[in-house]
Amino acid sequence: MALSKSIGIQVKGIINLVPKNSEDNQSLDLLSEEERTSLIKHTGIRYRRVNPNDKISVKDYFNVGVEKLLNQLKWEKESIDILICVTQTPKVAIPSVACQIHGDLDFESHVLCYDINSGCSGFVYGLHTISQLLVGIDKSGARAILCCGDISTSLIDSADRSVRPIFSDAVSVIGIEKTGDESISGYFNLETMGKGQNAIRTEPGKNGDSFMRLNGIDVFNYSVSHVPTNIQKLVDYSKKSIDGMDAFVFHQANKLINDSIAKKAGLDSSKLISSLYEYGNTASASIPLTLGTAWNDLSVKSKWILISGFGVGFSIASAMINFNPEICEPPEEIELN
Amino acid sequence: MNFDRFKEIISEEFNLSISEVSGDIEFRNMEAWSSLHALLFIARINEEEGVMLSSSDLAGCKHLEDIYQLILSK
Repeated sequence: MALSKSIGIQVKGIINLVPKNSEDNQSLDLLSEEERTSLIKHTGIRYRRVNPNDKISVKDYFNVGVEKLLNQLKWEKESIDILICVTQTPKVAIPSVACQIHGDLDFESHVLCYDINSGCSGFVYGLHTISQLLVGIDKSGARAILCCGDISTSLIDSADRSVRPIFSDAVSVIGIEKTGDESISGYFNLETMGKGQNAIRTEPGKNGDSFMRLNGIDVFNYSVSHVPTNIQKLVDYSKKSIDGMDAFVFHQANKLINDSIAKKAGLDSSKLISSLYEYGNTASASIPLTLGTAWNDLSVKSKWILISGFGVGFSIASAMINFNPEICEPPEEIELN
Repeated sequence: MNFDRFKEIISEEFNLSISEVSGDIEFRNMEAWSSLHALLFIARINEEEGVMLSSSDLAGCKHLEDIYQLILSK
């Protein structure tokens, strides 16, 4: 399933939401002044969003995002056929977050709902999954909603100097439609290096908690060794010019990794969009959120972009997609009670 | 890469003077050794030498000389 195409599928809208509450790495008491400066310089991350209320879950953010998306796209709830959530921080293991949203927002019974357990590469995996499902639905104009994101701070050991300065809470809700035309709308290259499963993982804490642990060197190794190759295979498969892409959007791992990948892949760094400084590593929301921060100001020519997610798994997913949404907004700050 | 160049990189990445760098230093005891500095060092070696060191590679090293020999062997 490594290389594949999608036919007649369009991203129509992207809603990004972040908690209003934020933390500043320049004030992080875990690190010395010199360490903070070095960390911000090399990771590119200054601010992180932190969900302040542990009674509020990722589903609550998704619910708000889905309603905003439907309103802004003027989509009737009855027109939705697929609802998929990509998250690794559900409040409960059962039932799926997608089924909870379906019930909370009173969707109709014909909607296909399930979750995908994926992080850094999750947006591309979700987009690929939905693209294949939509093609199979025997209905012109079939529609899907993809919810991506995590409350990653719920997995953070506050004393962990490797993890705490990096991860940030955010969700993205994406509306995707089957257009009915027969043109190729995307090329995908999805890969897995399971030998790297321990590079990012959770481990049990003392009080029944679960904490995310990160081996920064191994994440760097896997990313820089394999992502450029994954992208090159994709470009070769598509037979499209890399120079013809309007933008390159990577999972927002950190500046050191993303710059190294771009350099090894021979990409024009002026087209590499980042949201790291303001929003940190926002897991599976990072690619759509980054698009939201920049898309409306970009000089768009080809309406094709290159996206690449890589991390937890170790999983790598790149795609070249025809991207011309009606809505692609910067992150909105919200406070949920 | 010769050992003098290796010492230059160590001194730059870990804020040491060249005269302070020697092969018998236990790198984990260096004041500036941290997960971030280790990552920056790994990235620098990869960029300059095209050699990728993993965390398990480093786990098998104790002294700076061990890292240097590891780089030469790759």
